[in-house]
Amino acid sequence: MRSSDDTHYDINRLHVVFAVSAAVLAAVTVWMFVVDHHRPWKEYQRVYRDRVEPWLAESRLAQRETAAFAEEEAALRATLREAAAAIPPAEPVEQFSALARDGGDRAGAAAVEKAYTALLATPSQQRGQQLFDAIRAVVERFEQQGNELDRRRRVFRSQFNEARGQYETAAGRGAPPEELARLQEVTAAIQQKIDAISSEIEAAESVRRQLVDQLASITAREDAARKVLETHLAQVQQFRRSLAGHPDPTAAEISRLPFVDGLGRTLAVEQIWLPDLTIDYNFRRVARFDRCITCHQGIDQVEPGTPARPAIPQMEQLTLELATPEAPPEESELTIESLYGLTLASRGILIDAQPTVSVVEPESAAAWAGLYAGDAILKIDGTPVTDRDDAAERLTSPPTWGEPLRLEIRRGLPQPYCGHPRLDLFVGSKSPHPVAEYGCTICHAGQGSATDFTFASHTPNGPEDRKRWGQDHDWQANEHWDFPMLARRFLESSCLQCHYDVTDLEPSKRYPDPPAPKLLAGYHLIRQNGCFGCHQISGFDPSGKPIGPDLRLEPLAAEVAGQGNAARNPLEPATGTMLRVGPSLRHAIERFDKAAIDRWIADPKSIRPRTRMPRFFGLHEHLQGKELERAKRFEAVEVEAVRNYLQAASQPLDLLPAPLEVTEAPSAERGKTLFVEQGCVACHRHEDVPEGQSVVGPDLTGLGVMITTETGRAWLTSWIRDPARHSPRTPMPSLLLEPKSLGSNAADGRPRMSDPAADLAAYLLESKGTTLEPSPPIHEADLDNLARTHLIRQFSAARTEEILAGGISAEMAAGDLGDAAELLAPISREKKLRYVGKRTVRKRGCFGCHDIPGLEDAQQIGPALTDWGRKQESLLAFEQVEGFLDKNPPTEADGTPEDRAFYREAIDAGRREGFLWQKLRQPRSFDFHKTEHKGYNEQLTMGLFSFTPDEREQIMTFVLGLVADPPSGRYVRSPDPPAKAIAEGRKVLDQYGCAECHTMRMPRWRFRYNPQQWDGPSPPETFDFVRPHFSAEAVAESLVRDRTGWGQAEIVGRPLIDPSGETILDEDDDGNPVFVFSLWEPALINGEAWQVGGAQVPISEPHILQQHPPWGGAFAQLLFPYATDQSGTAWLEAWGMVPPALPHEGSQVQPNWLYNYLLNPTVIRPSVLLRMPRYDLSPAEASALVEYFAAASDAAFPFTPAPQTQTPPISNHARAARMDQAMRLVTDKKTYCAKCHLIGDYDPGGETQTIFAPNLAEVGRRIRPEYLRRWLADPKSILPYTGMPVNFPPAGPPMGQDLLPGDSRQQLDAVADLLLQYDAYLQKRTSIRAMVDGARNESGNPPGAAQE
Amino acid sequence: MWDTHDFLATVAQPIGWLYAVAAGLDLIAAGRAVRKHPGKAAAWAMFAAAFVWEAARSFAGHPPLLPTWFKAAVDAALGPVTFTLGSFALLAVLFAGREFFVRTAVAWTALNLSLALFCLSLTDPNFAAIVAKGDNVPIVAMVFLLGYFTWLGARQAVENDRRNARGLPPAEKELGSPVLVWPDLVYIELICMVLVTAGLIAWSLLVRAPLEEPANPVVTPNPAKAPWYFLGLQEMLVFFDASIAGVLFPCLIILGLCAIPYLDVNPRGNGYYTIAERKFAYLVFQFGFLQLWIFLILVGTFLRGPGWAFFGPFEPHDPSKVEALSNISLSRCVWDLWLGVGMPRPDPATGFPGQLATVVWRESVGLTILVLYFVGLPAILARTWLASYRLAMGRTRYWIMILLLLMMLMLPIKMFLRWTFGLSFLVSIPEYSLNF
Repeated sequence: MRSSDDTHYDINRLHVVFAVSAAVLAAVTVWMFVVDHHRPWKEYQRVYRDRVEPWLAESRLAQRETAAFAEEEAALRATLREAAAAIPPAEPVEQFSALARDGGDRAGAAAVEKAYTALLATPSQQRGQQLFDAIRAVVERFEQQGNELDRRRRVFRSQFNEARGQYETAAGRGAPPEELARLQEVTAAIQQKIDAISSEIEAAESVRRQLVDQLASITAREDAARKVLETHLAQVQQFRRSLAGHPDPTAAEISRLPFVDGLGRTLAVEQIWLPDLTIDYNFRRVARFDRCITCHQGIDQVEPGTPARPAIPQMEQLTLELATPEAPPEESELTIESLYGLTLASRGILIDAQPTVSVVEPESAAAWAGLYAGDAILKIDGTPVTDRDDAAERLTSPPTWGEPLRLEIRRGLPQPYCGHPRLDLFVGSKSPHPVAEYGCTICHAGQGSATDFTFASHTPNGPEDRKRWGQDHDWQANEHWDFPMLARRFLESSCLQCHYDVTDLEPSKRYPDPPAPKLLAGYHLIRQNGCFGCHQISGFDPSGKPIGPDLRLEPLAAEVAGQGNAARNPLEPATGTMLRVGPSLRHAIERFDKAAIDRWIADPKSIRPRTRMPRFFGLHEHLQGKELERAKRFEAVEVEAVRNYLQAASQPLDLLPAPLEVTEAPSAERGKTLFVEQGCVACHRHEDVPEGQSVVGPDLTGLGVMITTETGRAWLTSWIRDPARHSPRTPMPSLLLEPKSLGSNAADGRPRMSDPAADLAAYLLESKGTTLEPSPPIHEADLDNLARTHLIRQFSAARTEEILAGGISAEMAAGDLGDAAELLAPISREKKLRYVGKRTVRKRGCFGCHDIPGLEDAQQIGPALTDWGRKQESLLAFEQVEGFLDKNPPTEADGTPEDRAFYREAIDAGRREGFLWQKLRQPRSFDFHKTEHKGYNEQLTMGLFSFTPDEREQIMTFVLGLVADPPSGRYVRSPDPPAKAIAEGRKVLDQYGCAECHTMRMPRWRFRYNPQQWDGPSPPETFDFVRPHFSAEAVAESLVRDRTGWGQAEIVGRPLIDPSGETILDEDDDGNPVFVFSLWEPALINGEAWQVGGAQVPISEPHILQQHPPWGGAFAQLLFPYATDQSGTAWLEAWGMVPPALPHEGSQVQPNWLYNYLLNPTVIRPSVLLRMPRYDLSPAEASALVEYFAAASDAAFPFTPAPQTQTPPISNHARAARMDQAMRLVTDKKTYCAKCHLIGDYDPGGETQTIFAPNLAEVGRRIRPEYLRRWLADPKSILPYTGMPVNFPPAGPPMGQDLLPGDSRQQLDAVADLLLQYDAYLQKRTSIRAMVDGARNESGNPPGAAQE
Repeated sequence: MWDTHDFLATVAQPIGWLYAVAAGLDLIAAGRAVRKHPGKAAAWAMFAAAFVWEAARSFAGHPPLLPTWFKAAVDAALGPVTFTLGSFALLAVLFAGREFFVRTAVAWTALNLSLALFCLSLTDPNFAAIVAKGDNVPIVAMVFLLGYFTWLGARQAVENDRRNARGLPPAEKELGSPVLVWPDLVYIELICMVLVTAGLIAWSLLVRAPLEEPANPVVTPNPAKAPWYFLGLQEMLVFFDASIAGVLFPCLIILGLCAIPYLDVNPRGNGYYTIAERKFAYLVFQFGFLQLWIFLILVGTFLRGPGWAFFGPFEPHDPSKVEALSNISLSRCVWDLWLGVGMPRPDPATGFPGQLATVVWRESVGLTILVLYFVGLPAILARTWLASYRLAMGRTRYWIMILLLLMMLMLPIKMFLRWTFGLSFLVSIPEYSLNF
């Protein structure tokens, strides 16, 4: 209430001001609503729901409503009718009636049989129906019976409960024992009834189940056909529903208005709650909320009918060729539908005007061109397309008929609409990492709770991304989130959070596309380059909990004790398990040339360009002036000092004497052949054999530069013969080289014998590069100065001078002198060199890769990498590296400009990636302008590895993944035993380079074919148990065509190669090269089974969609031409002379035998080109390999040896007689086994090809029974190249009836039986008593002699 | 991680808007002045034209840059000493020339120039990184607001002083009649509320809440900064022992502020602005508030970087910048450097009294100075400069006031001692955690 009308302010004016400010507030409030209404994630959801989803549904529906699909539906219905009308096969019907009869339903069984006979007599639909009615009646009767029994049991059970209650009440009130006993009897009686009826129920249930199974197999065909039809129809239904679920965009938009949106389902933040995948918030671990799917709506959508193809692929641009007809069809109006079978959608997916393919008719020109629904046409023949009409116009009037049109298309959509590229591995509900359980940020990192582009901590993969994001999303680095998303290039890092074995990320049968190729490559690089020599990579936290991959160095103790690999157990990681990657320097380094050692230490690459040893000296790009001068002088001293120390400390050689029988002088010429044929090239490179690319062992080119003396030569010979003698823990095997006869006699009449080891040594030492000048002498003053820098840290200045002048006197020597013990008086130059050398070795960490005597106690010199991936970035000492890079910018050799810019930005921003990149590239550059104020020994010491930019990034991917932040236990990968066996075995395989010779996994090819023109196989006659079997579902699946009418299939095998090792190519009608594949696993193509060893599969090159490369076998390939030279005409059989492929080894051989063979390989095939060498494997390693092979071949776990045979014991008289007959067949020299095979002490000799065949006496111990039978039945179905013929013809008259009567199958079983029981059979046949008696008769002769 | 081009592309648009706003202000000013002061109007229009031109350049992606030599010169010239003494001198100049500075044209020109300088500075990535940081935005606003209100108060005070000189009553008195709560007060308060609410909403839409990463007990952010309103206290930590800067001074500040009404015996200046009638109070307040509080906040916000090192406004915040910690205490100075005899060490054998005696002997110079400062100086002042105040206030009031005043003055004195002599403490008794 106002007391006066006089006011200080003009009220009307205040009204105006108030009105204006109220309007401002209203406007700002509206602004707030608008901003909220258009938050970016809402926009994305709008677009996805209003445009993308309806478009997809429309397009799919349109695709299903084409004539072709109607036709297919009709065809499917016809198939179903046909299947339903077909007469069921006799076998299951008979079994069904037999079961019914056994089950007690004689009448039912009779009815079924009668109906079947009637059907066979006069097939009709009615009769068929009668048969099924009869069958179903039987099944129903059994069901009723079961129900009745069950009902009765329930009654008994209630009686039992009652009786028990009475008993317990009686006992509770203390009833007399007699009454209790009586009550007890009552319950027991009821219990008996229950038991009886339960077993009756079980029996009935078992019969019923078998009947149902039989019924299923009777109707299998019909069921399969029905299922295909139902799937076909269900999809259409689903698309209709999906389309109906999308309201009109305008209506949807109204429902999304502020306040209105509270009424119903509208746009919403969607999130995944992951209580077990916590984020470390320092004070506590907090459950993860991933809201990524709020925007990435299509991330888990698959193309209907495929397991893992994203519904919307990631955007890419393609150029396709669309064939046009030879001449315009004579129609009044040309349409793209009639010309190409192509329909354009009425609107584009994201942009209305963009001409976008909506339907592609199967088998149309568009389909052959590879167009898919959803492809947007950008350009036709290089000219941009404006809209749909323009595209249609230009497609219907091509410049030249008959010439293909070049279409530039954009396939897929950009993020956030597209699907995850690896739905088979991630996100998908059937993948091992379903999104509901794993979310997104555990792999990608980033701020999962954020719903804004910047605050989700998206991380650009390079400056281009960053610029684009800056424009599109106002993106800025969000430095306030500790776990920014991983840049795409380092994405695989996060696998290490759970996959500690790392090798379990290798491509596998289930995931032939490598799951994490970059990370694995990094792992192998780290393994091969021995980063763990200086940097600890521990897989366990102090409490022993696993936290990451474990790559700790093995303690030196074993090596010091001279224990070989046999003592190793790399699967028991109590301490480290990794071997040092460099050779041991424990023994006599004097085998090497002095100048060469100096040169090698100073710059290893100058002697061996491909060595993995990093360079430690001469890295001066960060130095200048006085510092540069000092480094040069001191480094020269260090090199000489290290050499002196190594020479003085190493222990003397203990050489093997040359074999006595050798008569020939070593020959480099013979050595050169041996180098390939003995398999050296499988692990070592040499310039003479450029096709050998292995990196397992060192490159041996120019070895003659390093070894110049006679001692050196003797050492090399001795080393080749038995490497483990000179370096107990070398992975190099003993090649089991014996003196070799040259086939003629020397002058003195003795046979000429050569020593292959000496020949190899001679050959290797022949290769000399440049001759080396000895390095210039060092200045004594420099030596003293350098020694001073070390001594001064231990002694006072005066004492130091005293020591340098006269050495450490006796009274000074009290206590632990450490390395200074080298300087005991009297002093000499040699001692100073040794001291400086030892200090240098210690400082530069040489012992991380080499076993160096005197430094067993040395500590790793580098910082640990165990949790480097999360190292505080503020703790990284970038120092003046930016200034250094300004002066020495990275060059072309350091990667693409984009990559360089990426890392430069990372360095400028002080991020880990940048630090690591520069550290790997120029490790010393962090000392730029720091050396002026650092002592010489405080400077950085990391050596320079010669990595390519790609390799660098691979290593970084691994190191950045070492976060030591394990998720809760259920997420840490704990593989099932077979998977574990594969991962562990893989480590041993890698350690010894097994895959250099043997193919461990055959290549796998995915290709497409035109079902109309595809010829089926002509399956060879074979036994049923050999023939591949596929489930009805698999067959149905292989008949599915993709949306454009192509069929797709996958085969495992190799294209044929000719004797010279070249791939054999045919040519198809269009002039495309055609590969001819020989299969290694049965394949299912177009619904037909292809058998291994049967027809070869021709595939023309453009139809190959994907190749999963083989693993291993490079050396076998390399050796193949050499083998064909020797095997004469049957060049395919030359594969038998090279190291065999082992993809199925585990299912072929017996584990016990394999174990023993690995530890001590025996001769299986007498004259293959090279024997399996003997690796110094430990028992643990051998059993790891055995388990690996078994697991990799899907043999049953736990891989215990299978029982020798299922047949009765040999005591059975009839069977023993049968074995005698089988033995007659086996030993028949003219036709059968003995023609080629060794049997016991029998050697067929003679023809060349016989030499491949293994000794049959060993078979029973070596081969698994089931495999042996398959092998005898059809050898080529196992080894496509084998020379072994089919001895037991599956069709046609059986052979050798005079020796072993019976049909082929019986013969085969008898022979298999014999071979498996060979030892027992011989025992049975050999009468020891006869021998003993014989020995008594001819006294004086030993029993063995009596047998002869 | 920004290269210059990228950076400019990001800031060009906001800078353009700032120029546009400045131009708009100038145009309004010119419009208002055009009738009565065509000269001024022309000047404002010129400013506006210049701003429009700059705005256009900025919107085109090429905002005008500050010359590198200028930035280098500012960075080189601006150290803690120059900043503090400079701000002191600036206050003195402003005070002395207040008649000149309170003129509208002068203030408007100053505002224009400061806006221009601000916009130009924003093109420097280092400056922008600090100034545009979400939680520093209100401090930037505070600089302008504070300038405005200080100017406004000074202007009215000067006006009143003029009137006073001419024998007129102050402007506020002349208006005389009381102002109604409704509608005058309540209505404009309502309007203010509405506008402030609108402003807050707009602010929250334009600037993201500066949320940082989860706190980590093992990682101290570098620099570790107090909330902006406490940065003055944090700055004092550089010059005083933590217990004094962190506990004693804050308490004294609060108690001192509470005590002001009881200490103030000057009856004039009630209900109107004046400087001349309350010069002592005015000076003490401006010095204490602007120099010792606001300027220290500015230092803490904008000029302190990693390691609490002092950085020029255009200097990159390089974490490896280190300042030598070579300050020593007065006692060490006396005993070690001047006398060269070494510090007397308390002998544990003598027990507490003996040790205390040694410590007091060791710190005798510093203690003497402190006694002279806190006891001798007030006594002298009471007889000389402040004799009139002593008389007017009485003994107790005088001593409380003078002790508070001397405490306040300790800060600039300690700063001065630190910079010129590298003196850390006048009295340093680490044995009992007593340092002053």
